[in-house]
Amino acid sequence: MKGGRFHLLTIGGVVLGLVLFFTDLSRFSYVRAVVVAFNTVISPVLNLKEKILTETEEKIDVYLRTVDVSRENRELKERIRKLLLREKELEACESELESLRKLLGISRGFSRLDYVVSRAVYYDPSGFDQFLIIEGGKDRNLRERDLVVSKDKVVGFVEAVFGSTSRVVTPLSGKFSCTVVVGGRKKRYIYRGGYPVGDLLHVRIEDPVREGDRVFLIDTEGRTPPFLLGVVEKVRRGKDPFFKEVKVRPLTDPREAEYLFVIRRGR
Amino acid sequence: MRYLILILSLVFVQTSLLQVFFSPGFVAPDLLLIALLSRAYLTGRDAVLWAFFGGALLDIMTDTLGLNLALETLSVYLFVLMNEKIFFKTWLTYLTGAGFSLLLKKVLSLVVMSVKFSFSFSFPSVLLALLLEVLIASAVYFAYLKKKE
Repeated sequence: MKGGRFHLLTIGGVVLGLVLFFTDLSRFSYVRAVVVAFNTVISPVLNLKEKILTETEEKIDVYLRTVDVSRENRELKERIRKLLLREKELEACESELESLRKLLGISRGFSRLDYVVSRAVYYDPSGFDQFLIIEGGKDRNLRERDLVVSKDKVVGFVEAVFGSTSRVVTPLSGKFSCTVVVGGRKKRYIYRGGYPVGDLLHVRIEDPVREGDRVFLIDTEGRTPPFLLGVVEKVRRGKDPFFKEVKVRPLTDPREAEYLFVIRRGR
Repeated sequence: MRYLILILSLVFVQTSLLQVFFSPGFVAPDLLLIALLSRAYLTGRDAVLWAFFGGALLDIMTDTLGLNLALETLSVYLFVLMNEKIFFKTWLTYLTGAGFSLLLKKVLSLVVMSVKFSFSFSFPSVLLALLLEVLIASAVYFAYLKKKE
C-alpha cells in the first residue's frame, strides 16, 4: 500500500470501527442476520472459549479460596498457640494468687456485694473534707456504718441516715475508725481518722511497718475485699516504749469521685 | 498461513485466559497488538490489514464490535508511521514506538468504553497489564525481530 490510499484505508477502518461500536449496527435487523450467521459458524470456538473462561475462573476462585483458607488456618493456629500460652500464664497467675491468698489469709468467698450507687451532693464547708452528704438515705435502705468507696479507695462510713440523704464521715475525720492491715501482712491494726493524717494504733515496736506502706481497710467478716485507705507517711518512736507512732495519710479525695458505691453491711 | 494461525491462537488465549485475570477484561495484556506491532516492524504497512482482521476477530470474540477494530488499526497505523520516520532501528526505537502504541490502545479503550458503559477499574491492574505488554514486546524483539532484521 502506498501514499494516500494507505492513510485513507486506515483512517476509514478506524472510523468504521468507532461507528460500529457506538451505533450498535450489529443489532439492526439486516446486519443481525449476517452476525447470527457468522456466530453460528464460529459458535464452537465461542463455546470453547466460554468453557475455558468459566473453568479458569472457577479454578482461580478455588485456588484463591484455598490460599485464603490456608492463610486463615495459619493465623488461627498462631492465635491458638498464643491463647494456650496465655492460658498457661493465667494458670500460673492464678496459682500465685492462690498462694498469696493463703499467705495473707484473704477470704475466698467474697459474697456478691450488696451496694448502692450514689454521688456526693454536699461537701464539708470547712474545707477539711471530714464529711460529705451523699444521695440516698432511708429511701434506699442505707444504714449507719455502711462502707462508702470510690473505685478501690475508701471514702468513708455512713454516719447518719436521713430521708433521702446520708452523712458520710471520711478518714480525715476524728470520728472515723476501722480495722486495717498494712501492706500484704496479716496483722490487723486500728486506724483512727485525723486531719491531715490519721493514726495507726498499737503498732508494736518490732512490727515491720515502714513509710510508704499501703494501708487497706478490711472487713473482719471477710465479706468484702480490702479497699485502699491510705499510705504510711511517718513512723517514729512513740511516748510509750512498746509502741510506734504511725501516721497515715488517707488517699481519699471525695471531691474527685464521680460516683460513690455504698456497700451495705450484712442485714 | 503461519501468521494467521498465530493470530487466531493469540486472540483465543487473550479472550479465554488472560481476560480472567484482569477486571475489566479488556485491560488484559493485548497479545494480538504485540504480534501486529512485530509484524509491522518487519513488513511495514501491510500489517494494517492484519490489524483490521485481528481487531474484528477480537471484537467478535469479546462482543465489542468495532472497538478493537478501530483501536488496533489506529495503534498499528501510528506505529508504522513512527517506524517509517526512523533512519536506524534499535531496541530502544522499537520499544518507544511499541510502548507508545500499547499505551495509546490501553488509554483509548478505557476512554471509549467509559463513554458507552459504566465500569470500575483499578489503576494498578492497568499498569500491570501495560508492564507485561512491554516486557513481552521486548522479549519478542530479542527472541525474534532482532534476528529477522
